[in-house]
Amino acid sequence: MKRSLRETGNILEVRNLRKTYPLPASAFVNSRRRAVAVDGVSFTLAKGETLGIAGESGCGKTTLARMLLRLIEPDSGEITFCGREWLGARGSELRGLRRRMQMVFQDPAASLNPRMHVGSIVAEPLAIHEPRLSRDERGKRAAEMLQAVGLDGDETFGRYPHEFSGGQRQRIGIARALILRPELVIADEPVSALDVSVGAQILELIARLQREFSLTLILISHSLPVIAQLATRVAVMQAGRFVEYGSVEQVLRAPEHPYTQALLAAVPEIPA
Amino acid sequence: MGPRLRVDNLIVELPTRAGWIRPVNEVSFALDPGETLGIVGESGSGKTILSLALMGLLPPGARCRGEALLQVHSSSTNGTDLPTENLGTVAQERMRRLRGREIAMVFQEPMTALNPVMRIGAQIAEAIRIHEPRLTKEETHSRVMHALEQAAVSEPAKRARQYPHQLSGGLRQRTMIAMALAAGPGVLIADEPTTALDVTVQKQVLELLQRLRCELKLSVLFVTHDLGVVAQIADRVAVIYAGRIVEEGPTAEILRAPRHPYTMGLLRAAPRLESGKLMPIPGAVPSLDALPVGCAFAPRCPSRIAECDAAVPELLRVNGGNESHRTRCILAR
Repeated sequence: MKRSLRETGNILEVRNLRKTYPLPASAFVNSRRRAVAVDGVSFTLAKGETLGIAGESGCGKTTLARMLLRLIEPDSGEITFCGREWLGARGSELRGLRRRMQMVFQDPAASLNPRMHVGSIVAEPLAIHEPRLSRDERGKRAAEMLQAVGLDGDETFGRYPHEFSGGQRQRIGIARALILRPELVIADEPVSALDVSVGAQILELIARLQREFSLTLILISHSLPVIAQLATRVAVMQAGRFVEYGSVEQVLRAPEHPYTQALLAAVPEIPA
Repeated sequence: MGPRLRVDNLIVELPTRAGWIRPVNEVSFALDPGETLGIVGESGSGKTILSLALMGLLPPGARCRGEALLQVHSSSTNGTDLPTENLGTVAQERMRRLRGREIAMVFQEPMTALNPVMRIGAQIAEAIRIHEPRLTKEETHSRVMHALEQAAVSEPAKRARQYPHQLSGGLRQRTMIAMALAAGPGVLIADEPTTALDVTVQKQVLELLQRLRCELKLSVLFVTHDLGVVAQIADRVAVIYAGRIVEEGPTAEILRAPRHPYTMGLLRAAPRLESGKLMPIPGAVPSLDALPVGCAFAPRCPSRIAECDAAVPELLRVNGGNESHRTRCILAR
């Protein structure tokens, strides 16, 4: 009997998620070898928490994020989201759950449709999930959301993505992710493409919006300092697995796994 | 002997629809043999145009004046009296002889800088043969092997026969470094060479650059936005804002006791492992075609006073610091 969200307080429960990809067949080997991108990942996320997933390129963190959103389907494993069986959901149940989980992408330039003006981009999720809203109503909500992320709603509404800086585009992406009032937001390298001072503004914005909208957050980053800023718990990922998992305090101050130790040792620190 | 590279009041102007802009505005610094100078700046600061100006790779239409005197060792007869060339005004033909032989550059994205359809050994050989066309095949080959070994590329013979896409990001960057150093330049400009790399790979590449600096007495101009990296690799730092150097001095002192509000702002805005409160700098970097009359940072500065808007402050020595620590802030003196 699956326990409901109210009982566990967990918004997300992931059990043994696995994803492999076929490798090109070798002339000398009969069976196709498979590359394991995610190798049996399990974790739980309580409502309101911020989980950081730290790892370098190729560790599987982006594949993991895509599976959580069901942008790709895992080979095996289970996901319980808001108390419901997420991987088996279809049709209207799927649509209903989908809007409660949203993503902020790394590259603000690539994730905004260059041929749509900003107002439409931010309002688009409403057009899909709340079709009964009038166009005016959608526009009004989009403008409000743009204000909430620190942009001038009226000023930015009719302009196109290329007219904005990297930091502003990232704010637009965040506005789009929040317009449906999701409960869970996955931010995949939200500041990697941004300068230090702009990145700091975006991290501060994410922290503020998390409080204002009571969001649960998964923050994916190759930067342990970025994760240290926002996350309460962190999972260190290597070759498709979580090699270390615990509170940020614990993992950063007393890392147990050699890979975590190597990652920490490699962070170029500014002398205090 | 004098510095290997001495830049004096360098100005680069680019034509835009809104008029001429100056991404490099009265920039001066000196680089001695074996020294690493960090150039710290964010997007729009002009740091990349500075690198391109020194390499003679400015876009067409750009105007350059001032001096960038590079010691040219290849045309010296006795090794001590080194003639200099002004990179700011040198002719294209002459620059082609200097580029690679005297001054070289590595870029942020090795995958775009390397030729995808040429084996890397051949690319390094190409870089050598341009400057030394009379080498035999055997001599070139051994120089290629030497360049790869110097860049700590393991199994150099195997790697030389591979294509860029077969190498990891870190190996590609080492290949770029090998290629840049193959003809023996005295100055290496590294423009964000580790920004696109994983942090553990970055550490290896930075260690490589440190070693090469010592072994070859290489002068390195290291351009980055990352203060942590600068702390690891640079002896001195120059912070650039809106085309001008706003603070410069020994790295340790600048990071420990910065005197320009922009530098202070950058330090407070940088995420660290000890999660203190991140303090972003409000506002945004100004567009180079709409700079204020006075200090370019004043509109975002928490310490701004009326005099800040009157004129661009001069770069002067800070009171109470190292004698080479200078800043463009009237409040720091």
